[in-house]
Amino acid sequence: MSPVTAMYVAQAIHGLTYGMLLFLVASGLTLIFGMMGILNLAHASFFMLSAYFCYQVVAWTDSFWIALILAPIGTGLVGIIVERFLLRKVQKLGLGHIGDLLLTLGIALVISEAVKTIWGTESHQVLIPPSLQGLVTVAGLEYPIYRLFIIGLSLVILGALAFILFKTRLGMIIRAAVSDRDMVSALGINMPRVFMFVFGVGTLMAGVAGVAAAPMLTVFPGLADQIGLDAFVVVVVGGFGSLLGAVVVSLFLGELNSFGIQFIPRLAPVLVFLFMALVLSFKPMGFFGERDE
Amino acid sequence: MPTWGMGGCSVFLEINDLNTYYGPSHVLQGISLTVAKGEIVALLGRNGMGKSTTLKTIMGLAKPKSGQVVFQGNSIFGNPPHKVSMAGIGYVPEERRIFPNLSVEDNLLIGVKGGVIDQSNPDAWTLEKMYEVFPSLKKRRTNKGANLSGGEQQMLAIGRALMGNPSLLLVDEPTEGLAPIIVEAVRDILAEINKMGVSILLVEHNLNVAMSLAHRVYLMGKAHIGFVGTVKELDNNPDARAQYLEV
Amino acid sequence: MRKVLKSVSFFIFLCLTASLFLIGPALAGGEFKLEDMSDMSDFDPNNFQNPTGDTFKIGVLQIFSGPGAGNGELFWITTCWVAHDINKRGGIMIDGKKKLIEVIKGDTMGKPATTKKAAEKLVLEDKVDVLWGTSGSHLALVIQGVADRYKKIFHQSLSMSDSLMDEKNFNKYTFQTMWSTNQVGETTAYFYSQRKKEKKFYIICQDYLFGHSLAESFKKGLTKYYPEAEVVGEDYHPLFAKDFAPYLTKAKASGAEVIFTGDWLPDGGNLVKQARQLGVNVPFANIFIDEPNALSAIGPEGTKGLVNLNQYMGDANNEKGMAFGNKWKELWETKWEAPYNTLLYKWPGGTIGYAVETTYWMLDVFNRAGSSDPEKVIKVWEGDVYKGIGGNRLEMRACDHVVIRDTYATEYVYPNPWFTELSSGTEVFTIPAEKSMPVDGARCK
Repeated sequence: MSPVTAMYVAQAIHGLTYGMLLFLVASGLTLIFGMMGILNLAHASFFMLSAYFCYQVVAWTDSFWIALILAPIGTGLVGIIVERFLLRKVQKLGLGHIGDLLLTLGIALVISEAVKTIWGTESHQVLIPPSLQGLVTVAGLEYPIYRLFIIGLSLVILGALAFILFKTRLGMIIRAAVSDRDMVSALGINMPRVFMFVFGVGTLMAGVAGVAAAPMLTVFPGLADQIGLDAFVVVVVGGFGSLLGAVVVSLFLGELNSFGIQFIPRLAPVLVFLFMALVLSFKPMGFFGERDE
Repeated sequence: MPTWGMGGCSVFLEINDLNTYYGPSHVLQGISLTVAKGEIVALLGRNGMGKSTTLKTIMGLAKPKSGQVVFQGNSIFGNPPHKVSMAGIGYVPEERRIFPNLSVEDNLLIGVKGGVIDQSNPDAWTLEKMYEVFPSLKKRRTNKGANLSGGEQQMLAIGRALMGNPSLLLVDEPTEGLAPIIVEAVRDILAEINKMGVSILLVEHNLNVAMSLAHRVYLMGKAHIGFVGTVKELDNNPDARAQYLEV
Repeated sequence: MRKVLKSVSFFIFLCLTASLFLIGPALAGGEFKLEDMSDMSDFDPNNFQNPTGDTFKIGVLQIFSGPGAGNGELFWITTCWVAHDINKRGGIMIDGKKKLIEVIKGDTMGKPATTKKAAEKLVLEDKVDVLWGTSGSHLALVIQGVADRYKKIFHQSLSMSDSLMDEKNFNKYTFQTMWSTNQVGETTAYFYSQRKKEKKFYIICQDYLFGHSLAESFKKGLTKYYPEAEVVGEDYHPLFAKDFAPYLTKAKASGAEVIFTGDWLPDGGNLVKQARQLGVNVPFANIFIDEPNALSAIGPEGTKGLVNLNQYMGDANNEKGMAFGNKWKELWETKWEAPYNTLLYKWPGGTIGYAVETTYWMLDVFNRAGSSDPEKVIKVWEGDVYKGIGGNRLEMRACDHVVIRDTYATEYVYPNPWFTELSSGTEVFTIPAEKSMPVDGARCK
């Protein structure tokens, strides 16, 4: 492969890596909003919280793999507690979206302060596990194994998610609830319990992304901001509640970022918003949007 | 509270002095009605009188402020919808609200309580039985809900509710927007279901359909009940009809 | 007649000699003397006790809360070290009596409005004698305004924009000891021109005013000192960027031999970390990527070859500097606790070095002025020459209150005398002051 081709292929894979990471974060966000109508401003904070959990577990056990399992679970548990004891109460107050926004914003702030109090304001490092370090050479292109791992891991999770959504009754319930959750409730299904589960799973997936991203980025209190905005764009453009929309738009944004930087670097940061404006002017519900809110 | 002309029939569903608000608007002001086991009761009246709200309140989709809702002797007042459903009440809503992104078969399956057909109940609805009673649904079993015609969607909405083996069905405007032939079919299906033992509380603006199905009728004025009686009694009361029904 | 001439000439001779003793000290400027330093073994940054009573107050304006609070942490220890030392010596002479040093925090929170409030509070309520700070030229400018308004000396110790002391922004109360963007560009270009090795440079900077200015000054520096060099590409990334891979792939494909960056952490750390993960082993010429915690995560291999340019550098061959450094390190090893026990605080090089050194200078100036009166301080500081910790010469240019000094470059190697966990600089290359002068500011014509 010529160096120029290698460069383009590398950029394409970079786009996949970032796109899949973005998907892991955005998928939870879109399901939560699509199904529960909750705009979770704290979602990216869970991503960050999981990165800190990962750092801590690695510090205790010296094992990235154990962290990969425990940190997302821990994050998911925090998510479930938040849903069960905070969100549900706020929803009963009947404040509508404002209530959710205020509460999740508050949670984001609490998480932000908590990580600073527990782990300090300095950055922390998580190392790539030895088995995933280094580069692999394919047809003349050298590419880091770890980034390929991120892609692989995300695909596995995407597969699991798709399986649950399209091959299980729970998945059927979730898909139905995205279009009409009251009707699902009227069919005898305990929606509060389903909500809690979806919120927990969505948060867990953001947690997986947090662990995956930790060795690539630095673990510091501003970690949430980096990915939060992009995740929202994915949800809005892909359509609330649409997993397919989340996949497609995440990957597209990843590639847009890579090739934007490659060819029109001065415009690259704005491209995302141009893209969003363009799509929304033709399809205000997003590409695959189904919700009526 | 008085039961109206029931004689010895058991009261299945009883609503007493129900008050519901939508924000500041007092939409139901002291509504009372009953449904006996095996009955079809029709709730009639002009648009906006609170008929749908009454059904929604029973189903737990609207929150009542005060009053009583008793089903089979147990209070279901203020219960969330899934609890009301599990108590044995099925809901066929206005606008059908079938799930557009699910197939016909999945729409039916989602109505199965707990996800598992009750093997111990010989009368339990199964997919086979459903497709016998609703052959049009069988034809379209793999189609997505959004691709069905209005009439097919209505059948699906009814079937979906039935899959939960309800003993009482709340049906809201089932013939709305349907062609006369389909209206007939819907009417017949509801009659057949009732014969199988399902009680029905029906909101219907089509007077002929309502009168041909119901045993008793309630006429709703603004947020209150204005008339109650058998179909025959309503037939013989043109004043009531004039006062509460379409002009 | 002859007798009279003899007496007169003798008398003139006496006067001249006497005046030398008077003017001499004033002309000679100040000097950091390690032997005068107090016994610092009781210094604990977590438990610094501010003196009470009629004290000399330094208002330190930095970020003390939020994600950037690490900055405030850093400049707390540097200022308190100096205060503790001076206090143990008895304080400085102000208006005829010895005053002890009190350090007061002003939280800028990284925002202009908050910075203004904090600076004004320090001046009006806490009645500080001098303002000290801050990171972020847009914030420094705000404090300059406050200094001018209330006629308070402002020691601008941390911001780099060339325009801070230009005609428009200069005021006589502000003294900038931080080197400027222009100097960084010339320092770097001069270093590589003398090295005569690498010719192809790629620029990756943060996409805001500072990043762009730095890139421009580097390009200008290359034109001036190293015209054979080629800038093979330049990219500007958003602050706190998520993924540097696309930029690094471009840089690699361009055939660059060095990547120049002004990125501060975490961007700088992530840039190098991701580069090494991607197999991009090109050295980074940088000014802020000397933070040992971040570098230790990358490890000795990945940090080899990094070139750090700075206005202060720990030099193993500088006896005076090493003597000071070892005293600091001993306390780090034996006494200090979190957050001051990480690798960042092990050696007083780089940022810690220049913050400590210029604070000693500042207090020395006030001591020689013998007063908090800004006019008196200005008279002493303008044109003042100070010998820093390593014996290096710092001159405060009178016309625009910026510092003329040598600057330094070092290439990271392993092993090195400082750390086992990462590569670090051993040989220090000095860029003479005249090769990287600050731009001519306000009154310099």
